[in-house]
Amino acid sequence: MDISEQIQKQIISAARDKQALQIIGNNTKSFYGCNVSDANLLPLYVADHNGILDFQPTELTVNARAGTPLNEIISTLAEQRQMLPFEPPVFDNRATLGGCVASALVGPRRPWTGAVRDYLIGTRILTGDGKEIRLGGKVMKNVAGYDLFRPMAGALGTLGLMLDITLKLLPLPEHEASYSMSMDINSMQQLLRDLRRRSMPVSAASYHQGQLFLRLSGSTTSIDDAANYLPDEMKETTADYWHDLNEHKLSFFDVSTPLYRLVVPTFAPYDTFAGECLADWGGALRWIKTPLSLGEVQKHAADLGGTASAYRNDTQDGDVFSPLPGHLLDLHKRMKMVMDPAGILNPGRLYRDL
Amino acid sequence: MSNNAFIEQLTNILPAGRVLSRHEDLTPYECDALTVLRERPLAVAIPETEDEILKILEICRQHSIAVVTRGAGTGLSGGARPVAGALLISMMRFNRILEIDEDNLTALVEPGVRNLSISEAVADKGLYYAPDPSSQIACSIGGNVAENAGGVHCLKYGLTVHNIVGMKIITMDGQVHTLGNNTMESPGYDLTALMNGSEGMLAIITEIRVLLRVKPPVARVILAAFDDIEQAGDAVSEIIKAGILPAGLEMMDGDAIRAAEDFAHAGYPLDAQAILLCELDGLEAEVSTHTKTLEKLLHVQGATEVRVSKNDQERQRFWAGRKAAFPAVGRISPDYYVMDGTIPRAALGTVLKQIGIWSEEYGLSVANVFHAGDGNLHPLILYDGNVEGEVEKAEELGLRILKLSVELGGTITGEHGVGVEKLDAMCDQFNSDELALFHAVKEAFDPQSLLNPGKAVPSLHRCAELGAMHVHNGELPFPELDRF
Repeated sequence: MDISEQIQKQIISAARDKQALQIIGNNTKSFYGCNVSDANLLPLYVADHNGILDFQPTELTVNARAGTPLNEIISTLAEQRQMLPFEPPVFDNRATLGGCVASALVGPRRPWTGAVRDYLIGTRILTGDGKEIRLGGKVMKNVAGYDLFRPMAGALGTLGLMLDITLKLLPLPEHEASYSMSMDINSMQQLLRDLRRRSMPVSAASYHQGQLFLRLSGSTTSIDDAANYLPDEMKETTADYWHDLNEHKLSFFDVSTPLYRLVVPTFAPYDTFAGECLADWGGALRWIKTPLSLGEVQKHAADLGGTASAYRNDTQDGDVFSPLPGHLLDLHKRMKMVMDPAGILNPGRLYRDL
Repeated sequence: MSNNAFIEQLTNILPAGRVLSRHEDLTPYECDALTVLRERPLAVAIPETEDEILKILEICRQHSIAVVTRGAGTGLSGGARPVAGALLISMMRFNRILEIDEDNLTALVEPGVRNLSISEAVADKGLYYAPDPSSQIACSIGGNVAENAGGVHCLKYGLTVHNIVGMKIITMDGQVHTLGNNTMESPGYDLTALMNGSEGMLAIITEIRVLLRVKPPVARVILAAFDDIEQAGDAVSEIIKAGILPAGLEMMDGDAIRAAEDFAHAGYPLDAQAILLCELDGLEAEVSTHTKTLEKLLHVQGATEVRVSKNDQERQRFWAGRKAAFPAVGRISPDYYVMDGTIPRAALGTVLKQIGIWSEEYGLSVANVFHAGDGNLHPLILYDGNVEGEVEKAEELGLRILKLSVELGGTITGEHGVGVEKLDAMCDQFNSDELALFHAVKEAFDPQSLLNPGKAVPSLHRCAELGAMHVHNGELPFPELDRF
């Protein structure tokens, strides 16, 4: 269904009234970003703006309205043996494409295939004053005009409301196999380095409580070859594990205390501060449960060369993403002013001051 | 204050030899690789530290003198062409590789570092930097970022933007910002992406963190010849549909093949109307399987000949012709004009046919070289600048090709950038709201419009004037064509 005109009218009227809006798709990620529950935000429901508009397997691209459920896109692509390369979590099959791009949350395949922004090739948006703007296009190479489409990924709706989105795709791997074994941190890191040096077709690697999980993707022959390099103790395991990890269905995630999300250099040391850690992305993404405050966790993350955010269950009202230097935040504010002059699109969600 | 006072202030900051202002010293800086468009800068400054740049910008602000940043000057759209009365800053002394981080597969480099020298510096570690524009032996990584340069391996490894994880920039107000970091994600807006392809209009880049990749153990090129160019185009779509992602997928037409063969002796079949070059890389087992699949597929698609490179030497030879296509065409024609439109792959046949018709209509030969896997076309329009009216004819034909690319859902530039060359074509691709937004972004970064002013985004006034020339009674151009 195309409800873009209705959405446009709502934005224009909100801009006129200086009424801030909260963009809501299927509301699967309301916990994510800064807490805006105290702000007087008018909900703007966009899930009805949905439907796949164009999918040409020979073009390796898909164009869909932002309210389209991810699982609908994923299964349509799979029929032609193609996929969204960044393996987004689907949040009980309810997450929409728009929320996926706006949050830029991605799955275990990220280090080997790339982020949302790497596959975003265009989007049609409504700016904060209700102007319809085409950013990028539907071809893979396009350097005409400033790149304002990739910054939509991860902006949490603060730079514009995405109406439809075009993504580049990848072929589905012919075959996948998952493995697991227990090993210490040093051996695990050494193994991952070795596999990478040999161009082994790793497509996921996680580590929790001394247990390494590994997934290989590729042709049957290349996976057979690669499996020969794995230690004998490595046992084949079920692929469900990756789904449960990506959807936070593992018991590790079953918590009511704050869950922190750290992005650090892949081989950064573990155990530099107290807390339980589950590492995804081969070690570059660390989920942490700890009694430490967000500020303390962010300081530890910075020491490791990375950043940290409060993902879930953090009750404080400040910023949840690692702070930006003042002058860089100013530049962000100027960008926000360009895209949303009245400051009505998801204000305060990414940073309190944006 | 006079220009002399400005130049004198510059010489107080930079030592002798790093401020150029004499007529003959400025001549080499008049243009980039788009040599038809020239302009003499007021002066050239050659800084080598961030501090020197900060001081230069301070003086420029004082005098309201514009700044054009230049790397190796290999750009094809005039992005680094001087602006009248502006200072040109050459970044070529920013030429150090500052750090190679094997664990995170990144390198921190200065913008004047040559593209190819990054791969050379990490080759002993089995690593490389993937984007490989044809000018990679000479072009600088700073220029690559400014133009978001491509190359022949974009289909699998992306454009420059996909291979840059962070950078340090200086905005015109003298503020130094660090964008991105050395991990897979950084908080805030993706300004790193915005900087890619911004053509030196938003900030000056002083450091770049590039992504390195592990060199694949095996790479093999399949060369397939066709006696019909549309068949070759269809074969490209079939390869993609087969679920195989080649590292590179290139196409050349008959004229380009013969010119390249004559120049580079790559062993191309001279009687072919089109060849495809398809590179597969990865593990031996996978590459072998895929090679066999594609050999079969290409025969089914009507290839008259299919060859597979037997060793790396032969693979390089297959590429040599393609990579030398531009200079090769330069030998068969006094002048040529390169286009850079990108179209949905399915429209390849339609576009080729139309280019053929226009080529006859204008009496100008067109040799076609494509990054077929990306739908990125490089028609080379051959003309003779000494024949009166031919430059104009070539430009008009070029603009029609770009308009057609936009009509079919593509873009006027896939990897060469807009610069000064494609300002008019921008009016075809973007409406006034979109262009106004681009201008607002520029203003957010550079309120006085001192950084490379007048490039990349046309003024609304300019487009309005062009629009007046091209009214078609509200009719869509090319109504006979399918829209994709």
